[in-house]
Amino acid sequence: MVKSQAKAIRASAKLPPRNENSDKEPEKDIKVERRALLLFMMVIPLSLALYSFFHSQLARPDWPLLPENIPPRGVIQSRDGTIFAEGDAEHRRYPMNRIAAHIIGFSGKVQEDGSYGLEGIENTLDSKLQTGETVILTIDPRMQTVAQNQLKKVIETYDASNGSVVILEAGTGRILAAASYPEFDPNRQRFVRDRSIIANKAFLYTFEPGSVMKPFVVSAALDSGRWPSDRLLETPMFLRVGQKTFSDVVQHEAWLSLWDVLRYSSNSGMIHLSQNFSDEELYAWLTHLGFGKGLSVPSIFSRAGTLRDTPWFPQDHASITIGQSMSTTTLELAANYSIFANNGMYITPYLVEGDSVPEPQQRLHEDTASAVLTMLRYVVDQSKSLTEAMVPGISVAGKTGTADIFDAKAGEYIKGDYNVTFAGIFPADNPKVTMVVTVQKPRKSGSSTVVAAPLFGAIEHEVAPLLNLGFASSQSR
Amino acid sequence: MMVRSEITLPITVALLLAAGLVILSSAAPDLGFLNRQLIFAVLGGLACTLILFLGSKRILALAFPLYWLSIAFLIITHLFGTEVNGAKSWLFLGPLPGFQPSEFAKLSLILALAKLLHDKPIKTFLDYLKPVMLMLIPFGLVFLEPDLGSALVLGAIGAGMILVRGIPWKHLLIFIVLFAVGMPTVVWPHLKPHQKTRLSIFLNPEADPQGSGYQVIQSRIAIGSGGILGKGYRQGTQTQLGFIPYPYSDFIFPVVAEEGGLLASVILLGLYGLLFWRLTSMATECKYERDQLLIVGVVSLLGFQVLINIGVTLGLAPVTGITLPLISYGGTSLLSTLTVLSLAFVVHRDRFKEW
Repeated sequence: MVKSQAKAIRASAKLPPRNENSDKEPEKDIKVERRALLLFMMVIPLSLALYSFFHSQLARPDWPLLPENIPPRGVIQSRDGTIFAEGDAEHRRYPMNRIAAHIIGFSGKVQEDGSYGLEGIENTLDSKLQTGETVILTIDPRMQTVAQNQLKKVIETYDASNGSVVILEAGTGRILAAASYPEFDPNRQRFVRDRSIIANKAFLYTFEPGSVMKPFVVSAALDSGRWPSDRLLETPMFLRVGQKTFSDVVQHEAWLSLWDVLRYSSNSGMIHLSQNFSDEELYAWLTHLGFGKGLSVPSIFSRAGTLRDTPWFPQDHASITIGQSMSTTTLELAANYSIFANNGMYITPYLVEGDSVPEPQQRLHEDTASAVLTMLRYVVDQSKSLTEAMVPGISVAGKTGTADIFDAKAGEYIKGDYNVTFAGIFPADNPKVTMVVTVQKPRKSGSSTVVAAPLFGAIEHEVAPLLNLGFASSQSR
Repeated sequence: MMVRSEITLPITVALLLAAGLVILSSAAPDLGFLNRQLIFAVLGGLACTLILFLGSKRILALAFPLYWLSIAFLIITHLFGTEVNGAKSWLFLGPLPGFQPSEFAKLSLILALAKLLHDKPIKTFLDYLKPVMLMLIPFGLVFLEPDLGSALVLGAIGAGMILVRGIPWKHLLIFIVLFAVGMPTVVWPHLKPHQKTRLSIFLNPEADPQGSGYQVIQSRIAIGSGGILGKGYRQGTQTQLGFIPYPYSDFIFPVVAEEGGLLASVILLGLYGLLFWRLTSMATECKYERDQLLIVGVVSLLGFQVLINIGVTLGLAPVTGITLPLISYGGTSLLSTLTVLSLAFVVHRDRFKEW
């Protein structure tokens, strides 16, 4: 054997011993004082160990040392099978990360009432998820991604504070996309310091919509027969009502039909039109068309817009007509615009397949709805900048809105800060979707035509092919 | 829904462990080494099972109790420790087999730092106070044993985890300058004579070929003589004739290089590469920072050991007495390596768990 020879060879070669320190003096016993000091020092880490143990979660009675039974939890997915949330109650993960994060929300540790969900669907449908049932969302993950990406881009470009987008399917009320910015990743929600980011702006953020309200007052006038669309209204550039002076932005003729009142977004024309309604009548019409009531859908946690009780001051009556001194949410606005897309039917939007929603209701006569839809198409077609923002070949019916922002703390409207909105329906000749985009406080431009309409157009560009719309698909048929 | 279970890591570890046993049966002077290594591999398996059973939540809850317990053990070692190779680093408690508390300290330092650094950005110099103190306590105690190798490993864990947690560039620059200035002025005068000799001989081993330079010279001869394919299993003259010091522990890599040549060395390093690649990718898959940091701590610990151990055998690093994880003989070392690897495994497994 090689090994047996090794020792002999090592010895004859007079190699150094393997252990370098074998010739070292044996260590003397350490002194008593030092030993005492070290023993005393032991007290510190040992007491810290005990202290930290009794302050750790392990020492809590509700924290058994043995693994506990973790209850299952249902999957949240889209109709096409894209998974938004999976895993049992303690191992919840969100494979789509920031996509639809505000809608899905997130769950956490079990709470006192036995629920796990903290935000979004995870919260509203907690009991259903706890039974392990799969929740199928109406959200189209592709449209949701498009909406979120385009919204993010516009908000970053124009240095805005926040914004949201809602896309509703015409005829059904399915929420196809609901984007909210700023975004977060539900997998890492613990690290979100500013918790206001987590709120779904599309469902919860109320704002004064501005001119996008005008089609509803026009609908009331047409539907009640109080003002036909072609009769001219006096439209001065300045109009004083009560204690407030209202001015028009775009230069136009002194008398306009309802078509051109909407086209030029004439405030004075709208205020003259609304003088055909008493406070109570206008309140009733706006409530009838969906404002100020909110939605009653179990899966959706939303806030209702505000419509103050009558009687109103004259300047409030005028302000409400043009979408100020009242508020709405992006979702509410989209739902109400859908009335024009659905031949006058109000269809409650829903987020989860199988949601119990109220039956659709006829809120406007069919001819009124189609007349307003045609007028909104006229608004877009007559504006070069609006037409340019949209997809060529797809007709869009829509309305811009630029509104002042009321600062509740200061008690006044902030100078130079606006919210810009575009609400629209496409294709106007055969509505497929209603979409509302809104951006709050864009610092680099305060115009809805510059900020909101191109955002609407950019989303339309990517959503249209998903709906089999557009130049290419119509040609191939 | 089940989380897809991790297989790359256990397979890589099993391969390294098997390779280690094969190498050891050639390098170790008698069968006893192999048997003891096998016993500790089984004990390591039991430790892994316990950790998998407890889950990441409970283990991390124990981070600080374990940390302070490890400090207590290090102090006991100063009191009742047994001196081996000039360092008082072994503890024999009653009939139990001896173990090195410094290994336990490495493990609990990773846990404690992961928990401490979680969600705490480092912006000012005050933010270093807690993590650096946490690292310095065991570092100091181990350094005074004096076991420079283990102390450096503790330093590597701390530095690795703090760096990955993220520090401002300016701070990094200051630390590099401090290190460059502090090493020769503060650290050097406080080293023990045998440590000083090791460090200076590293620069010129041929100055004392029969004494301090002996190990590195013999090791390099062994590695070079292996060639491309090696001399064959159990056929290495440097190894079998006892020219390599400690061929079963610190100098096990020359055995691989001599008997298996370049081929076996590259395969072994490839396995380590796979291990570290998988560990780092596991860290990026984790949801919580504390889990990511824990895995980073494990990578720092094992990576530093592999780097320094192989560096020593090649003469690229001073002789420090650091073993090659999973390959070298050493019960405590094997047990602690398997334990930290199972910690990395378990935090990755439980990465979506709420806490």
